Amino acid sequence: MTELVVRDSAAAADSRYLGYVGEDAHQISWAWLAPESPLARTDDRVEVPGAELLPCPADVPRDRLLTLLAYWPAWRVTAWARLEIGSGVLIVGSGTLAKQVAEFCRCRGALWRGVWGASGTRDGEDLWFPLSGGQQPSEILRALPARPDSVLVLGGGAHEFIAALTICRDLGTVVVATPLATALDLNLYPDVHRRGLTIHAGSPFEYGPADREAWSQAARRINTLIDLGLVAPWKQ
Amino acid sequence: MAVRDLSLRLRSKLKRHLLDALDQRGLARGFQVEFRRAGECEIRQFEEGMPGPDEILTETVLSAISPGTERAVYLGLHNVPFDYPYVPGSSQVGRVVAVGGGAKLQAGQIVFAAGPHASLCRYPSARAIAVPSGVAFEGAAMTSMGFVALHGVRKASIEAGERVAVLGCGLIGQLASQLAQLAGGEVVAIATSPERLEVAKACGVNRVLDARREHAALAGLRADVVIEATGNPEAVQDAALAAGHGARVILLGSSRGVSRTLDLTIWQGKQLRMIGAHVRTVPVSDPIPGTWSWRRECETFLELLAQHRLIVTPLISRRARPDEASRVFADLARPEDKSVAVLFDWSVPGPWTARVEMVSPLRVAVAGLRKMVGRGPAPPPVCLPKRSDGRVLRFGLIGCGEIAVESAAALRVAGNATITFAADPNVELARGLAAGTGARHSGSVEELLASREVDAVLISTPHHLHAPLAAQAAEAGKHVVVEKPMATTLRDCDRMIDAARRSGVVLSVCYCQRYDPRVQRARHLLDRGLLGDIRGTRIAFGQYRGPEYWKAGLTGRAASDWRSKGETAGGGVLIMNACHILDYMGWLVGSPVAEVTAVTANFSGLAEVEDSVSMSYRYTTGAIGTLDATTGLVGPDTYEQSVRGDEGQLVVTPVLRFWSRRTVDGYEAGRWHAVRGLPRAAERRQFFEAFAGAVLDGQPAPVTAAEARAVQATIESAYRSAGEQRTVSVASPDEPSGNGAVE
Repeated sequence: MTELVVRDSAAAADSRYLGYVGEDAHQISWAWLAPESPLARTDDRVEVPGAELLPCPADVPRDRLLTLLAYWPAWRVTAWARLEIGSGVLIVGSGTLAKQVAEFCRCRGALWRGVWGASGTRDGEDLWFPLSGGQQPSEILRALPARPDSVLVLGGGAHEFIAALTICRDLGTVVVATPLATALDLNLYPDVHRRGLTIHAGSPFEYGPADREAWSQAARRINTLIDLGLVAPWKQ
Repeated sequence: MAVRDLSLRLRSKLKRHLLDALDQRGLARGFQVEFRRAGECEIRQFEEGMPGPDEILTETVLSAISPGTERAVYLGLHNVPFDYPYVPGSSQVGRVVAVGGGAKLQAGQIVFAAGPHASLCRYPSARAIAVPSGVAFEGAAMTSMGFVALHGVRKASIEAGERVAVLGCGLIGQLASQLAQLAGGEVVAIATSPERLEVAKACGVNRVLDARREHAALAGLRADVVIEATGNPEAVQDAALAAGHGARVILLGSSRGVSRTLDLTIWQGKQLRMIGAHVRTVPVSDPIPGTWSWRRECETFLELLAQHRLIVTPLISRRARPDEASRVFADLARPEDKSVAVLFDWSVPGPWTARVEMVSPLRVAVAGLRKMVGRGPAPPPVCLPKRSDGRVLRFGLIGCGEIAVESAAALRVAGNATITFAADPNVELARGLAAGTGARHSGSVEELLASREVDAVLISTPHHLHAPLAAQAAEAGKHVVVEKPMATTLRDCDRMIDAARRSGVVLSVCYCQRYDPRVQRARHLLDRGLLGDIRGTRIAFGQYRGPEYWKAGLTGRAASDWRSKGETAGGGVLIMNACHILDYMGWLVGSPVAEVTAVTANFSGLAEVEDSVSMSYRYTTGAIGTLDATTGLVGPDTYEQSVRGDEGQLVVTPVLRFWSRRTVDGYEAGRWHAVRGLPRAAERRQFFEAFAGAVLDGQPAPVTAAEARAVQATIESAYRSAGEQRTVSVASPDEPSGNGAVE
């Protein structure tokens, strides 16, 4: 465990997590994500497992560290989707994480983005389908320009995940980054196996020492995107 | 007027029958395996048209069962997108027998194609791939499964040094394990069947794990890549267990049902990627050069076989006749079945071996006339596949018992030899062997020898008949191959040589084990000086022959007790079995035996002849050797031979390996090297092709009469030594000249 003084904190893209920035005894800055409870406040002394501490990359302004941390889970999810320029993407979910992911999809050259999300979260430039409507995959497919290359399941439940497998194009990727409440009975043959899909299962808010290098690289790139105005955190 | 009407009617009738016959022109009749409904399999006749533009017609040699898929279709399991009746099979090797215009392949070429279990197949030529030379038919027949496994391994993007766990040791899993190793993975093959794990070990897989006994160990694997090749829908749970953080899990086996209570939080916690790897997403040909298409993957697999970088022989669990299909699939359906690869051998003589020809207009006319006059249809058209140079040595088989079946199968696939006549006192045996080949059959050797369609004879009779029949055949001007041993006495050998010399024909003995790939490679290495001067050889041979063998042979096809008697067999295990090894060890050493000391015993008393022999001998070069052979061994067979020299040592069997102070062929000096992945032997076919080459092209005979006589001399001297309890000098061989033809 490492003792740190909390310098700043902010809600992460998932309401269950908070992002923190703190300093250790040598005034070195670290960032970390932690569950919402127990809440630590500025200047609190906290002990954090060393494995959860993320360094501040040398070429990143310290005052932006918390913003970068807030964007990092979305960055990870988007990376798992393996987008290419011209891809079509369907995002399932409509929270902050989904919005950040949508921004990154655009940055990575996605041709179009559909959002299957809760009502009231519609973004003007996306195709939008209400999540609570109980839509069948065929209905969504009819409304999309094409089968999406990637479907990112950031919300919803088992129904939406299984629908995502049906909707995704052959050889596409389905990212499941939301906890599904129950274990599934799933026939992997018709979609995953036969159509060559990839399912990337991940928890974007959980990480370990092996992710530190990826964090540093991501933080530098997100910082660049903010500098270029391609990602606008102040809009949120 | 009446005559004119009659004439018109006759002409009309003739025209109609000619047209009927023309409809049959170019139709080939073949046999195929069919699933009529779930759990019901049979072999049925079908008709196939002649190849059109850019098409080829092939005659199948071997087809391999893809056990997972075909078992699922046979049983009508979940996730099987096929309807009955269904013709199973997707991987075969065969010979091109007819070519349509524009096709790039040639008649006589050996090709792989993703075709069904059928004796004949017509394909677009783009869907067939020429098999490179040096690739055994057995390996080539598995190419479709190799394609599936390669695709899965490719999807895994294995980095050198990564840990790869392969779940399932069926045919796809076995091939995937080897390919993952070739890609640089450190592989552990996982299965619940100890038998299949043994196969994986025999194929050189780094590590195996029995999932039933060591299930807890799965969690400790922390694999970078897990390849799920069981097809069991519940196995994905084990895949997640075996996977390390961030691993790729490749779904290679088609799962036959629903994965129950799949807990994705485990997958999320480990950040796993599940990647489907069905081959339907792979393009057939290369839309862009370099694309990993079906063709490129199959060509890669065949090339890996040609380079001996894959081991397939231990994968073969069963080789079945096509008419055993019903039994084969019933066996595969049993849960306890542990087969890995099962092959249908279409080269075994049977009704499915009917061949095809493009029917000539004259023959069409004759067929029409026969129909018109009510003589019934002409016999099915038969012609032999065209050889590349059109020259074929036509064999007559004398003796159609046990070993003749193997020889007939080899001759059917030989590139420059074929069967035109079969004779046996038991005419039913001759008829059976000739069936479907277009060969004549008879109970009379004289009739065979009188036939102008016979260039050479293969004598596969009790040993004591070799000499008189060989002499008779030579006198009839036929070239002669006798099954091993050459004869029962040295005097008979000399009679045979004398008869061949007088008639100017080639005489050889079917010591075909020289064509065992291990022996061939050993000879190559010895020729390169691997061992320096050879100092010694050691032969250990043991197997069990029970009472049935001595009464009826291995199969009972031609039941007789001739093997049990010295008068008809010439001896026991030494002349019957160990003669093969004596021959090829002498060939490796490059020297005949000069003197021998032997003891024999008959422990079992099942036959008059010896069941055990032990002998020491000195070659003419001064090297010494020992032989220990028995047909009374309890337990697994023993088959171990080795050679030592003043620079190193070499073990020929069961696995070719060697140690030398010299670097030869890039094999580093001073360490052991094992040569694995040699092609499965096609010894008999290669022997006959070499013999045909000797007759047709004047090439060296595969085994000269002098060499075979030298083996006989050693055997006869060993028997004399055992009887007289002293060391005996071996009679010097009477050196023949030329290519083995004794003139």
